[in-house]
Amino acid sequence: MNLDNTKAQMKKGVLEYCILAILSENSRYTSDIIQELKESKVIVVEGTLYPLLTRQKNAGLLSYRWEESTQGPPRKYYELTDKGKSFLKELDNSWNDLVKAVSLIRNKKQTPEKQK
Amino acid sequence: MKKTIKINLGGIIFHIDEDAYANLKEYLNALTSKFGHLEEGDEIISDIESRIAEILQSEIKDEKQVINIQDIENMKKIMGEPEDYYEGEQEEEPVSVKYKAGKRLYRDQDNSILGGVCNGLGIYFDVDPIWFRVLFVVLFLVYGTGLLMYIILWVLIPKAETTAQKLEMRGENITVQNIERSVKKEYQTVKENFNKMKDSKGYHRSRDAVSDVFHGIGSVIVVFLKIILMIIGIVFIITGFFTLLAFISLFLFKHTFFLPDFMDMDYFYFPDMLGIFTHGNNVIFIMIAFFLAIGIPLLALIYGGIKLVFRFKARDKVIGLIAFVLWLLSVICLFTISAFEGINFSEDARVKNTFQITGLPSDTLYLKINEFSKKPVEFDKFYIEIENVGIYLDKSTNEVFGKPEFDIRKGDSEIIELEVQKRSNGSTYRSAVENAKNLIYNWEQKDSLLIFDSYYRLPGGEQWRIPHVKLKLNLPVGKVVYFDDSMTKIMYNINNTSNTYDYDMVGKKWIMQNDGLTQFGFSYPPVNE
Repeated sequence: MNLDNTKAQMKKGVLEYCILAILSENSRYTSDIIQELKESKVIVVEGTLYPLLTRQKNAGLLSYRWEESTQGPPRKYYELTDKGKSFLKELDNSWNDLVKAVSLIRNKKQTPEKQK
Repeated sequence: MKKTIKINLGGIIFHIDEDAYANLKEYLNALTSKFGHLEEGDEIISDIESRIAEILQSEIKDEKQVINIQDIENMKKIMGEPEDYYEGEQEEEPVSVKYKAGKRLYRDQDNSILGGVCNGLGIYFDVDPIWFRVLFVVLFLVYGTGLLMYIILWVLIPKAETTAQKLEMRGENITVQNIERSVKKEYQTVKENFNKMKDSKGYHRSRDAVSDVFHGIGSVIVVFLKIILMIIGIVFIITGFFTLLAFISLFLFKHTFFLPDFMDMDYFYFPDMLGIFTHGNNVIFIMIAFFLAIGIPLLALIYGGIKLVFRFKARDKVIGLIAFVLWLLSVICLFTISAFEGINFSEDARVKNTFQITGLPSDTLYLKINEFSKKPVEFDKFYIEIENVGIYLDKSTNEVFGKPEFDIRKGDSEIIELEVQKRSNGSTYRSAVENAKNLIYNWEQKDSLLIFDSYYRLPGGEQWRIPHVKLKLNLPVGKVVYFDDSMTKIMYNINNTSNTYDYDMVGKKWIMQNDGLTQFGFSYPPVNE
């Protein structure tokens, strides 16, 4: 087992979820999304985001609109579609289940006597 | 002072330092090689380009108008290296896996002498490139084939420019395990797609175990097929290479190897042969057209083989199209020339001259060949021989020779006659007659001796238009002929009462009787032994 690979695998699944979660309230520009992700240390480089966004858009989870920018080319603002919203809801649920399951297992291991 | 370059990035014009430009270009190339092959690749790349433009734009101030290498490095820090983008995402992108898993053949121009072909091959095979250099030099000595091969490979194999390509160039070795692994990965995605399709159409997934077994068998078959394809590729390369070699030597050099012996063409030289049939300018045209018409498919064969054996991305669409157009043109050219040449054969004519042989001291006529007559030099000739009709080309004088046919008939008159019949084809009847008349054939009478040339010939510079010369001796009943041994050269199925073969008739006297030519002094009817 390769540690880096495992870490990356874990992040990968979470990353897509995080993007949808960030977009759940209002539409965002890519660098806004990256800002939040960087703050929470999920990813470090921006380039990673573009393929993911394009793929989610093509899957019908996201849509975008163009907005003129004062400091460069027009920007793509992404937002959730209806499909994306229900997708996110599903992910929310399974994430909660997952966290619960993982913490349950970890608590058991760390403090087996307490559980009894 | 630094040179700046003007670029358009995401619709915005930037002035950029030369070194910064090179750096940025490498970055974008790496992006392209990473995403370019994906369906959504263009969109991803243009999004990233827009973002890069935005980042660079923020670096520009009134006192600093030009993008320098530091700006590019800062931008890279924000965007990250393309190699880092995709961490742990291999499974989602089968195509990029395919490119990553194996080695690809590139030209390595970093440490090269010429185009980096040998270096690239060396890296691909994990062999010191010196061996390939030696190989090409040795092949160069074989009629320059090495040079041709080198140039072909130079054009076809792409140069390793970006970091990604350089990594690919040194990637994993091609082994059976690697092939198997990449095949398995391909299968995985096929399976996933298939499952997606099943889901969407409401299929049940109850037969996974069974389908797994099938996938297992499937991947074994695919590995097997890939190995077979490689072998076929090697066969293609070898066949194509040697045929090309034979072909080149046929065209450019006056003797050849690799041509089968039975064709009796030891001295075969294609341009000489063409020169027999057509004029000088056409020879060059036909040579070029012929070379392309046969050479291009051979190169395509070699190329196909190389593609089956090695893995490389080649710029083959344009080259392929050009090659195909050239090939088509050459074939059309050949057909047109043949059609025009064919006109020169459309009519045929015979010219007959009859000579009376008189003044014989006796009834016996002696027949022999003029040993000093003009003939193609034995060891410096090229010839094609079909049945009795031969074309001989004396290569030192470029004269075309042919063998006449000599026959004896029973004469109607009291006088011996020699009929010389010349034939030829031509574009019109008139020119056919002209061509026939121009054929040179000499014979002479010395008392009772008839001396024949062993060959007729075309006047210098004339083309071959199916010429032929027939000699008929009309021998009255009671007259006798004697064949010298040398006459076998031109005797052609002479009828006689004992059905003796031509080569058994020589050295003897033959008398014309009412029922045909009979051996002189032979009792009639012939003795049965």
